[in-house]
Amino acid sequence: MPMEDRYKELFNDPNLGNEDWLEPRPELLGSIKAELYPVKKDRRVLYIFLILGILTALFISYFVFSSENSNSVGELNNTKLEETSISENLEVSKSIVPIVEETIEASEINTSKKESTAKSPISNFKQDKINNEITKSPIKKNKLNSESYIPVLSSSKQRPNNFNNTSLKENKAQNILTTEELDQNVLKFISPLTYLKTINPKFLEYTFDNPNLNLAVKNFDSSIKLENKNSKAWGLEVGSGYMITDFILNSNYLAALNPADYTQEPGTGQYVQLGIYKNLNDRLSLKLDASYSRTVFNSGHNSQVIYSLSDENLDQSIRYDMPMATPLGFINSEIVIERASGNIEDQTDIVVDLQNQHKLNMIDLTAGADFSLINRNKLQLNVLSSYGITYLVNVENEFRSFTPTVSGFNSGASQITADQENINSLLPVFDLGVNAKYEIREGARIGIKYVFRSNLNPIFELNDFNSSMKRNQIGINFQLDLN
Amino acid sequence: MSDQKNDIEIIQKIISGDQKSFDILYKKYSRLYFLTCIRYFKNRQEAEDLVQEAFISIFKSLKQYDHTKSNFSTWSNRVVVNVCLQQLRRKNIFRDVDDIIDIAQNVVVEPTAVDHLNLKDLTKLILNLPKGYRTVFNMYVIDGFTHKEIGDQLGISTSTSKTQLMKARKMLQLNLKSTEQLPNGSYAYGR
Repeated sequence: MPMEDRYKELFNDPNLGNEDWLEPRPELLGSIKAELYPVKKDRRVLYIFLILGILTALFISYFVFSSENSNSVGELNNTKLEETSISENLEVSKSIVPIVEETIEASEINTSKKESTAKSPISNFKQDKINNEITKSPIKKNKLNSESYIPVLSSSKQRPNNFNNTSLKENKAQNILTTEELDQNVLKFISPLTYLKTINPKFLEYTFDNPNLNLAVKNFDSSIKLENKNSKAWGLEVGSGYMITDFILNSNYLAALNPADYTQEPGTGQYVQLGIYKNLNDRLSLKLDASYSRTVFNSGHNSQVIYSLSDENLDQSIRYDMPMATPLGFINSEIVIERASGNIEDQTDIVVDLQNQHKLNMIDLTAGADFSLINRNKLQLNVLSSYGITYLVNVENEFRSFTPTVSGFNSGASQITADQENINSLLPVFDLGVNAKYEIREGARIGIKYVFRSNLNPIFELNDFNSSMKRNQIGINFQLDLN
Repeated sequence: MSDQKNDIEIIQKIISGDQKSFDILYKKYSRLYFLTCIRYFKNRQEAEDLVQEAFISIFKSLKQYDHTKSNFSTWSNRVVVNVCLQQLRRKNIFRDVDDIIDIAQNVVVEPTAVDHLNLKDLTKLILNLPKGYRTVFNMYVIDGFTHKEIGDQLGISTSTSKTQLMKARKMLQLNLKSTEQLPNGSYAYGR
């Protein structure tokens, strides 16, 4: 058998059962499988993290909304239920009628009882006036109102007694008529109170359920002192700024590239950010952010080629395939080295200085919390932390230059023929930052924000080589409370 | 069941997520892939790293494998060779393809001389070739590349590839001749 056929046959025969010297080390299978099947494990952790995050967000949202609902929407619904049940529930109607009529007396203390009862109870109701007064100077006026109500309420306790003097049937008939009117009027009545409800939802509750208005006013008064109109606001945040991105190569990758005089610059770029936040209280808020960023950086290294006259083209040039290393992995390119001078040796070693530029477009989605450390006058200093994902939209590579370091040779054409292959385009990310804010008007703030953003997985990974990405962002942002 | 049918069954199971089938595939082909990597790289550790990279590449490309076009062993071994070539490109080893070595001319070796040598000895003979010769010899003789393909892959001209191969053959014959002259006629290549 010819020698080369023997080689071909022997070296392509998969049956190498007796060749124990070809057995790779036993750990190799384990490390291959660790590379091939870690995805599920990693994703499991990621899923757990996401589920926990969602559950936490839901949990917090539940409390935020449930407390809001119980104070506003839910309360209003309850009130409506009570209204609709007025005609069926004598007791409830009893409790409403005196209150309304008593309120009439409270607002028009000098008006005769006959006049006030002859008119529609609601048309005589001057709650709007009271509301306006409360709005203008809530605490002070409420105190005054509560004081002025007390004697009225005391004196008006006779009214329900008078009401009860009629027979039950008459009462019912009378009340059905009265409550039908009231149903209509109460709906009108609700409207002005809705404003009060937004300030203190318990006002409605007490108004309808408790004949003792004094309690409602007292409660109203005290709660106004505690409530901050913007403390539970939803809001929008927009921002933009400058960012510096560091690519950190692991020791193996760095060691492999160092002999080639590898250099890289930090990436610089801009970002724009849009977010929504929910203030849980005066200090703590939750936020969801989306940002788009673009960063540009350069890298380069040397490489050695042999210019052999026997390989030279007619135009005195040679085209080389040139693999190049970047912080994000390897790219391939073609370069043409042109021979300028006439006399050279058959083979010349040429060191080529290669420089590339890379542009990264990324989208970040993060969810986190913002805590106010300092809140004095109109100034706030907040710390923030969030988790999320970075999606690497694309990488644009550009061959900037290559320079033969041997005289007599020039750089010709060059082009990148293959981009990086081993990039992780979806990465978990963790943020830490501070935001100094100034309230320019009620519910609107402008701030300067610094964020350190670190990706938790390598952006490039190939065998023992990997690199990770850390970003420093500084920019301005504008926050606007929506309610 | 034929080897190829067996391979297809294993591949389908691997694609469907069966890890045990991957173990079977590994046991069946790891030696062949290791041998391929060893032919290109003397360093055992480096060869093992490349076997790992090759298995990962093969695993990721399994869905693209068309069993009607080639046997799995042929297809997968070509993937292994490509991984080796990629590594060579990374290390820019191709600049060494023009190693100049004085080779004695007119070496005469019996055509059947290689029949007496085992795989280990033949591997050793290949590994004794300079990197450039070895790469071209491996690609052309064992892995079935044409000179044009070699030129494209290594960034050298077709004529350079031919020259390298010729020099490799001569050097191999020379080494083979000296092997025959050894008392036990054996090389050793171990761990």
